[in-house]
Amino acid sequence: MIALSAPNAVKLAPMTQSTIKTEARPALVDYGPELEPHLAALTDLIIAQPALRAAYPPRWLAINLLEGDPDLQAQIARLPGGAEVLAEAARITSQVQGTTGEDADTLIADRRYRFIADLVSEAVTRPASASDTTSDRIDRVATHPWLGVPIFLALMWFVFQMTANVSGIYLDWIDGVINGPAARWIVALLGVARLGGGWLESLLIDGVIAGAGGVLAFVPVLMFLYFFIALLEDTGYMARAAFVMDRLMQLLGLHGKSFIPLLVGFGCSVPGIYATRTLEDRRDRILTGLLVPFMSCAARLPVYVLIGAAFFGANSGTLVFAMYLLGVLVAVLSGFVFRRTIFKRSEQLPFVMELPPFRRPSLSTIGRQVWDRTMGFVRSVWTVIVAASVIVWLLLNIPYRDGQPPALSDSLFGGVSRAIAPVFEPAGFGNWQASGSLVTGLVAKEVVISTMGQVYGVEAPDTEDAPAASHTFLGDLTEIASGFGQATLDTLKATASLLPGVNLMDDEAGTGDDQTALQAALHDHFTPRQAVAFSVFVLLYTPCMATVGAIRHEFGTRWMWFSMVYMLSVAWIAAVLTHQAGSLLGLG
Amino acid sequence: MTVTLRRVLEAFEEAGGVIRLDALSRELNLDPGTLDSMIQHWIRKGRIREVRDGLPDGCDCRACGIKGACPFVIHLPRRYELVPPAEPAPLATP
Repeated sequence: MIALSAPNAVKLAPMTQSTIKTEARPALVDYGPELEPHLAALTDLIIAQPALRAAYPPRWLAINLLEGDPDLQAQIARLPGGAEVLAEAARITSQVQGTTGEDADTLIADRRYRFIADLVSEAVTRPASASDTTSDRIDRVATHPWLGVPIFLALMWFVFQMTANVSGIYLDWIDGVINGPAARWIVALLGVARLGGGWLESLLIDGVIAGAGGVLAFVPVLMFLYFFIALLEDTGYMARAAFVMDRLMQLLGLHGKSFIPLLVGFGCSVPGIYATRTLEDRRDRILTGLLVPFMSCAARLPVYVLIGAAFFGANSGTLVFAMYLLGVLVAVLSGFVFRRTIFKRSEQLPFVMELPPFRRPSLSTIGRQVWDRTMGFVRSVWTVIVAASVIVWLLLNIPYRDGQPPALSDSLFGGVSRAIAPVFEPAGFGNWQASGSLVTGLVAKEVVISTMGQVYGVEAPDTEDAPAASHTFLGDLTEIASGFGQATLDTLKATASLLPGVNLMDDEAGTGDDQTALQAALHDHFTPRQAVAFSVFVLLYTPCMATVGAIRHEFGTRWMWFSMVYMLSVAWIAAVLTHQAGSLLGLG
Repeated sequence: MTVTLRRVLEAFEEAGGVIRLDALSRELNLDPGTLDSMIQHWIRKGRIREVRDGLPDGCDCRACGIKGACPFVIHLPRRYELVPPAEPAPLATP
């Protein structure tokens, strides 16, 4: 007997006591005419063996020996009289198998199930209809045929508002730390080692700090995104998202299961591609695999946040949301076209998934997920992105003439990028810096940011404008701590300001006055319309090398090339349409 | 009527392919938890096996933003099939 609440436990206590005092006989399972005579005979044989009788309850031992428990058989074999009992058990097992066609253990298990079923039917009274749980009531709204999709979109909008607008405050702080104290410490250390002012300082400041440091500054943004995603997962909402979007997928002729790999693709395209293995039909797998890279992965988020903060201030979250939505739209439209052309199929298989009940989120689970994913991002910065930043720095510094590096635009990187740039002229960003960033972005999308940090000549301002000696180590630490405190305060204000009718932010906040050096540089080289077209291209163009490798691994070289060419074409057309339509409408 | 272990096995023989736990539960009018434990008996006997989609190579949850909706993480319906006679599964310890 179990009480599920404290008041019931009080009621249960006297009942438990009276049950204990009652000398009730244990309920014995009747193993039926096929087994009971054999069990009785074997039990008698066990009782006749003093060593066995003393060590085990005889009937229990008989049943377990007929079930063939190997550990028990080994123990019995070591006891006096055990061999005789084991031989009789084996004979009975064989005889039962011969007469009934079933193993003795199956008959025993079957009788137990019948016993349990009889007991349950006598003891349990089930209500005619199960009462709704809180989870059921939430589900009626969250998975409603008409409300489900708007609720999903509203939640995503909120997540991106928080991610892009509120987390941007920490982005400014960490960018200041990397380009301020961190850069100064590197310069100071190089000075102490008598290596200052040379190529090594240029590599570390113009290469690693401007490149990888520029990407690392987006860690707070991703932490916010990971936090909200983990929150939605832990409450059980994400499974509902797959459920409500499934209806949309079915309407457009896509397999219901296709949405799950697409949803996985929001985090990273590589597991999204591999997740297509859950689709039974190879054509469904390929079709879904072609659509997964259109889902905006976490690596592309920094690009939208950067451009949003540079050009759209307080509305940057809306730009981010629009980019994610555009990715879904292009995937759905592509699927719609593919299904009616190269992947024709008439049969639609149903998509069945179990929805876990809604539950209260666990902060420790969320914290662990945020930490693991953030560390995954940081690891990629310290490996792939640092390597890419060093290579770009090298290409920006050759050919070396008269002991001097070339102007950035005259470098090898600048020359190659300039040759590609005219292709992007109709999309509005036909300059060598943007072209070069897109090319290096083929390695990993975060590299678009690191390359921009390098090609726009973003200097760590304090290392140029102020001598390192004017800063003390203690002063830097104080600056970092006070900056963090201010950022936390501003984040709380910005979060509260998301509520309707509340505005705790200072008037100048979000106007662009507190932009990072890279945001300011972009402001000088792009118009808002060009910046949006650039974001569209980054969203849709050929995925990173890891994703291309996954496509080749899963679907073969032919589909890999198809995917690359198709995505590049779609991205170019979409970017040109964005730029030209904006021009016709007189925007930006 | 009480469903026997034999009846569960026969249901798999009649289906001749993969069966979802929830579908068989409805067909036999048997609680999914009870049915699952009955299926586990036949799995131990090497007569039935669970059908699983393998976790793909290179799948990295740490780099994935939508872990909770991942098909390898969420509870997709459990599926089982008969072990073909030519391919006996090793007997597991009860």
